[in-house]
Amino acid sequence: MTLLVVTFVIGVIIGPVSIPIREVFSYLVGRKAAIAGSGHTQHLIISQIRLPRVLLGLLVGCALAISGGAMQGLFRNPLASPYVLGIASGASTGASLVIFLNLHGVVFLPLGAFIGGSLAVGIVYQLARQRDRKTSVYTLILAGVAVGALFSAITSFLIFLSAGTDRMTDVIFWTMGGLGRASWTYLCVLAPIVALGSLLLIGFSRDLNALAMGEEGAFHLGINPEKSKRIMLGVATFLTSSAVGFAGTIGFVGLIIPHIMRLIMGPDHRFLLPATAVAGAIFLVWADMVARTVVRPVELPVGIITAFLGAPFFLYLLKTRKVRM
Amino acid sequence: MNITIEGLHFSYDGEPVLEEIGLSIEKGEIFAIVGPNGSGKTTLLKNISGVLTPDRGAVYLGMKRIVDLSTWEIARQLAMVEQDREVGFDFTVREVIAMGRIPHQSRFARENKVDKKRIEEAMRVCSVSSLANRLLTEISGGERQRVFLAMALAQEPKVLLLDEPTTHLDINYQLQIMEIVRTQAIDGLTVVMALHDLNLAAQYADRAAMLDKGHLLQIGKPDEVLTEANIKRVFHTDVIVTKHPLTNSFYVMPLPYRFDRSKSRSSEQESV
Repeated sequence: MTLLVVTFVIGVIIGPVSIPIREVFSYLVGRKAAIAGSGHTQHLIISQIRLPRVLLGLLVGCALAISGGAMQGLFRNPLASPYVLGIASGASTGASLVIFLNLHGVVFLPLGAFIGGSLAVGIVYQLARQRDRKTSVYTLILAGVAVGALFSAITSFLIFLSAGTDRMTDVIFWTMGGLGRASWTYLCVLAPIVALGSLLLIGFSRDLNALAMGEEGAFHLGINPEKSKRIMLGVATFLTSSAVGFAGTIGFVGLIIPHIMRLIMGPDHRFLLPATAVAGAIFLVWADMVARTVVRPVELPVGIITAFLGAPFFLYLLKTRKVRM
Repeated sequence: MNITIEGLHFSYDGEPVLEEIGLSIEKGEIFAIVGPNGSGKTTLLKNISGVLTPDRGAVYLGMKRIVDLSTWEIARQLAMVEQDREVGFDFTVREVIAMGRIPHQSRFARENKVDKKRIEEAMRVCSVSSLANRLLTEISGGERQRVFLAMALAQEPKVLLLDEPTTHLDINYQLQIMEIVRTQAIDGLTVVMALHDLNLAAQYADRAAMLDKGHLLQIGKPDEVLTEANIKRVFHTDVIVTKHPLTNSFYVMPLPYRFDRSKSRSSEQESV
């Protein structure tokens, strides 16, 4: 929790334009100083750029990580993530299509992403169900990879179609992911979604623990496995899609943060999921800080940083810790 | 709690697996379901547990039809130790056993005193207390099975279903499991288990039912069911059923294929 606050403050401080720490604190503590004129530009940077960006990072990181954690538990498979099941690809295709059709706006983007994400996961889930009557994890993941590839192809096709126009850069931005478009309106939409979705998933952590005993094992513990899975999958899809809708596809957070937290905290989802949510939020803000400062003034796509930071750390943990998968 | 099964039929994809099964099991009884592989033992257990729904007929838990009970209500009365259960992620022994308390906890509840007591009691009964903090992946097969049994007992069930609880276990572990089960049954737990080991059924079951290709061949005391004729008919194997010299219970001994029973008296002289 302390780390969360520290990250938040540092995230606001660090950026291409340096702002004295004193100014940041004076802004965060009270707005009185803001009226005093001298630091006006700095305050404007804080209020309109830095602060929304850091907050968006926290929300998106939290959403991606907790969805990933829930899905890994849901499918009893450490490989499961919003990406493996095709949700992110579907959401990104949905968002791209919205941009391609020139339907800008806070409502259309997440809506498009959600429709795309739900469509992808719907196809995957139905396919897996019909084949085995009960949803099998392997079919689910295989189908997810295939459907993800299909949607990625559609997105690439949209990029190709819009070559040379402004829209192309927009679409490419979505496929790379980034927090650069943060605004207070975005935050107002995303914040309640993330808060509600995360709480719901945490509320289902007992079901996730039971599902670790297998579907029949969960049944014997009084959990209706199909119902629990459907609800959690729906919530996780909604969270991921919303995050993708506002920040594009940022990889690795949903896969690696739950893993790292499981190595540290153990597999009990009642503790794992809240920890994952906080860690995901912190991680993404740090990754974004690196992304926007490492080759100033150019901004790197944050997905590159998440992979760069996350993968080696994960490998290190795998090698040194007694693995608790 | 007693279990009643009436006119139960079940099929997988139109292929009948169980036909016209009817039996009743009394409170505190150890009831063994025996029969060869594929005779429907596990399917019958899953019909009793509510995992599968019969095509026709019904299973009653006490006075209520199991299909009328919610998953939650079933779990508060009935626990099951499945065959070859695989656990996702590395839980510790205690974490696994504590999951047995889920049916008795509300969604956000922490472990209370009663939960703790039941968990510790179950660990003691199954002699796994010393393993509490070990990972499930680090312990032996025999220990694992006792952990799952402890988890089921922590659930405070009135009915315990066991699907081949002794498969892959060494002989000492087989007896450990059976002894724990017997003690619980004396305290009033109703136990139904699918067993392929006829001798364990003979030693520990109060009554047994023999299944033959989805049909109930016979129900009764083990010595009535596990006869040479029944075993020959269902398993297509020649056996000798004799009294055990020490325990006075009977045991089943298979005879090799080449053994010719009619010549058994004179075989020693005639052998090459």
